[in-house]
Formats: sequence, structure tokens, C-alpha cells
Amino acid sequence: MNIHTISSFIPESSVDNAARAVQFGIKPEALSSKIGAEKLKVLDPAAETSDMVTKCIQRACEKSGFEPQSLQALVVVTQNGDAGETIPHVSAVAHGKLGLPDEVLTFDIGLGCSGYVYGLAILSGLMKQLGLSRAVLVTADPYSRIIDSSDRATSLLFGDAAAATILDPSGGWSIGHSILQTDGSKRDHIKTVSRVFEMNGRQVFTFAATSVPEQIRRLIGEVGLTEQDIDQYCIHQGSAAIVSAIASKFPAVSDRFPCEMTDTGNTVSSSVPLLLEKRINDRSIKKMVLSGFGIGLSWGSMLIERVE
Amino acid sequence: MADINAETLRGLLVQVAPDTDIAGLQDDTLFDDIDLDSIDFFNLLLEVQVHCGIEIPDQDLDRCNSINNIIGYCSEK
Repeated sequence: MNIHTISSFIPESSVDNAARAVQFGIKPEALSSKIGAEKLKVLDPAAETSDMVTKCIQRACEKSGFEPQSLQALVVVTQNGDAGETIPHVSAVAHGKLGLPDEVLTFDIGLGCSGYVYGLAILSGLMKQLGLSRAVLVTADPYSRIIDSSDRATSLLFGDAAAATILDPSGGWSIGHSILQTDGSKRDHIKTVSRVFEMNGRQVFTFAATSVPEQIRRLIGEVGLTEQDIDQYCIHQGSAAIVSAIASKFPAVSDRFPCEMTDTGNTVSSSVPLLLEKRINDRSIKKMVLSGFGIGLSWGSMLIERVE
Repeated sequence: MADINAETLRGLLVQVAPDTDIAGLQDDTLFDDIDLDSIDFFNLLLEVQVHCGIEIPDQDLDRCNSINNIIGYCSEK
């Protein structure tokens, strides 16, 4: 199955991270080089997760020329349902708001920053199993709803965003080999307590800087490629420090690990499709490795290749 | 017993935090006193763990707050 179109939804409202960093005693250079976000986008308090989902699906359909009614599956990666509830699932709410026919299957995937890679693997496999030809995967997680603004470890990191990825056999990027992993013994390093997000920054950093490079190397090896064969490594934008730490494990190609979170922050499962949205129409890019990592702790990496 | 010396630690520190004033850093200088930020400190401990083949649990972080203290901590592991 192929990636056809990616369209994002980034809220207009934002908070000034630079001003807030001063309150936490964080120097401007550390904000830039370690955290990486000058601004964080915040979803309008009156809007819900399903509104982000419907907006980016509509944008993706406009961009691709596909009618929403032609979609056969709508899958949402989120951990923040409308009004903080988990029932009904967000994809069903979006299905209703878009007025889709009842032949369109829906379900949610309850993952965080690894969710996009997991979602692509799950949905492309399901499409093959059911013989579906067109589906949409949406990442939408307004973490501003669960972040404690006084928490120095998390409140300067996470921003709200959503992205819709349409899968269709006529798309320009084929979904290739993937590796999906979980280490549940480390589950408490990222969690919510009474709907408030908590993260052990040191443990998550150590996990990302060790497990992710190992998995990426394994992925590349399993498909018979080398580091140099990959044009771009679109990895989760956890923080500038995490992207830099992972890139540093690949010194020969470290400049192929984009870090683009200055105006958005860590947008959870949307960070990888936000990178892809800017790259899938660049004809000079032929092969990309995607990698997401976070809650679970779970991590997944995938190869995608341009269809010539 | 895990073995690491001051020279190796200084090398790791330069690697993870290139802007650190290594020349002005004594072996007993607390990392807090040179404004080593938390991410660089996490990164340093990660490299120490890899170098020594040990795990430094969160509750032991306070014992690893200088070059000398890391050497002492690792020698006990």
C-alpha cells in the first residue's frame, strides 16, 4: 500500500515558550538547542480532538481530489478523546461529523509518539487483509489538555497538531518493512495520573538514545541497505536534544535527521507526518526511514520508498 | 567493579557538552556549579553506563554529581 497525500492541521493559537522558559530559569540557548521549541500550538478550548481530525481529513481530501465518501477506513491515533473521554472512539465521532457512509470502518489506536509508524503498519496490513483500496490514518493528540503548565519537564515540550495521511495504491510512496517493539517494564516512565501527564525525562532520553538507533540499524540491515542509502531519517521530534542524540549515533549521515519543531514543539504522533508532509513531493528524496518512540515504552521504525 | 578515570570522563563530557569549560573544571567541581544542564547530565550518565556496562538508577543520581563522585560510584558497582 502507498502513501498518497498528507495534510496537517496546526492550531493558530500559540504560547511563547521563550517567555515561559525564563520563568523556569532556562536559558535561551538551552531552549533552542535542547528543547527546540520557541512556540507551542494550542487547540482552541472550544474545539475537540474530533474537530482536528475532520479538519485535516477535509484538507487531505481537497489536496488529493478524493471525496471523503470514497474512504473505506478511518483510523485515528490518539490518547485524548473528545472532552477527555475514551467512549465513543474519536474516529467514530469524526465519521459522524463528516457524514460518512456506514461501509467506512473506524477504530482508534491508543498510542503516543510511536503511533504514526504503528498506525501505518496496522492500516496497510488491514487494507491488504480486507481488500481495501483507500483509507485515512489521522494522528491527533491535543496534549495541552493533559499537561501541567507548572511542570518544568513537560510544559515547554508539547504542542497540539494533527495530520491526515491518505493511503491509496496510486500514492507515490510505498510502505515497506517495519519493526515494532515494546518494553512494558518501562511503562511508568511516561504516564498520566488523574489525567495529568508525567514523564521521567532521563529514562525516556536514555531509552530513545539507545533503543531507537539500534532499531533503525536493524531495519536498514534487514532490507539490505546501508545508512547512506537512506535520504532522510524522519524521526519523532521528541526534543531537539533527543533528535540530536539519535542523529549523533549515525555520524556519517547525521545531517539527514531533520529537527523541525521550533514553531510546533513535540506534537506526539503527528511529528513524523509533519516532517513527511514537507518531503513527499521532493523528487530528490527516494528513500526515508520513519521512526517513532514513546509511551509504552514503545518504538517503531519503517522504510518508505518513492514509487518510480 | 566498573572502571572509569577522570580523563575518560572529561572526554565524555566534551563529547556530550562541547561548550563546557573543561579547563576550569576540577575533579571535585560539582556539575551544578558549571551549569551543566539536565539533558547534558543525562547524556553524560548514559555514556558512563555504556562505557562501564552498568545501570545507574534514578535514586543514585545525586551520587554522580562530579567527576570524582562518578569515579567513586562506578568503583563500587
